[in-house]
Amino acid sequence: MIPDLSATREELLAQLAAQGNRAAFGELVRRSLPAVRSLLRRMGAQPALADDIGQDAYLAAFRSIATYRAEGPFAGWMCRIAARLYIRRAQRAQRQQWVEISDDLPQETSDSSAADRIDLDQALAQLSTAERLCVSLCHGAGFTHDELAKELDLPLGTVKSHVLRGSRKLRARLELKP
Amino acid sequence: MSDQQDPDLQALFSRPAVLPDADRLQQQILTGIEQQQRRRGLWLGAAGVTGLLVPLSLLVASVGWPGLIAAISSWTVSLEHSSAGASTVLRVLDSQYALWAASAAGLVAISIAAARSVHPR
Repeated sequence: MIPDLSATREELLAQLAAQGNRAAFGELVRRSLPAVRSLLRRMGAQPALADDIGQDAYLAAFRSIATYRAEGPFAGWMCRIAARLYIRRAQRAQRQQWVEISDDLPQETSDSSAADRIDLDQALAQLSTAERLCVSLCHGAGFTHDELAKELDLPLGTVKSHVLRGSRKLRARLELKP
Repeated sequence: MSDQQDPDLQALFSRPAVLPDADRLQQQILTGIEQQQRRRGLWLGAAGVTGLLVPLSLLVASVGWPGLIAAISSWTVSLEHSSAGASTVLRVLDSQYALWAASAAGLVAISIAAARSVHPR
């Protein structure tokens, strides 16, 4: 019988996964997958590429699950792994030019936050590729400006201005009060 | 509020979109992990076999089959006659058994290297 792991703490699930328990890791995947896919698409990855990178990210995460310290949500840890993989792949594909920007918006559901998400994804599509990437990584994956500068191999000032400009544009599009 | 903190935007980003084919993708990920575990098992098995064969080949090359068989017989006899664990260890490490110890160390080193190659940090 497959145990019900839906109420199990992420720290315990990670410990079980580190011992090779696939069901425990499956539960972690179930919980974090929407966040990982959303982030990759918001960064600008085409749906197929986003899912491809998502898979690679989970394989990498399973190999290094013992290093997950449960200091934050598992989804946050996964998002950073996936974001780094996307950056590496994009850098390999075309140095400093972020490829395969998707105009496809995620399919929506009927819950109350759906309208916000449509707005966010539509607003993101209006940003430049660099702004979109920096804003998504900063607000969606919790990267600091310093971390972003290192990951993207860009000057710190450039990263800060991408985040600032992108955030301002997003706030204006979403009509958020300053 | 620092220039990189924007609670409004962070709140919006924290709500993931519900995307299609989540179950299919999750299944693919778990299948991939199963294959990864299987490959790791094969790697470790291959590393174990290699770790066994390499020292054995070195032994055979250095002392020949008759020498190896004689060494095993001598070792067995010495173990039978040893009265204490410490003396057994000393005997094993002594002269002709040093080769055995080196082989065992080689086996461990190769196994660790193989395990690290399939389980990088």
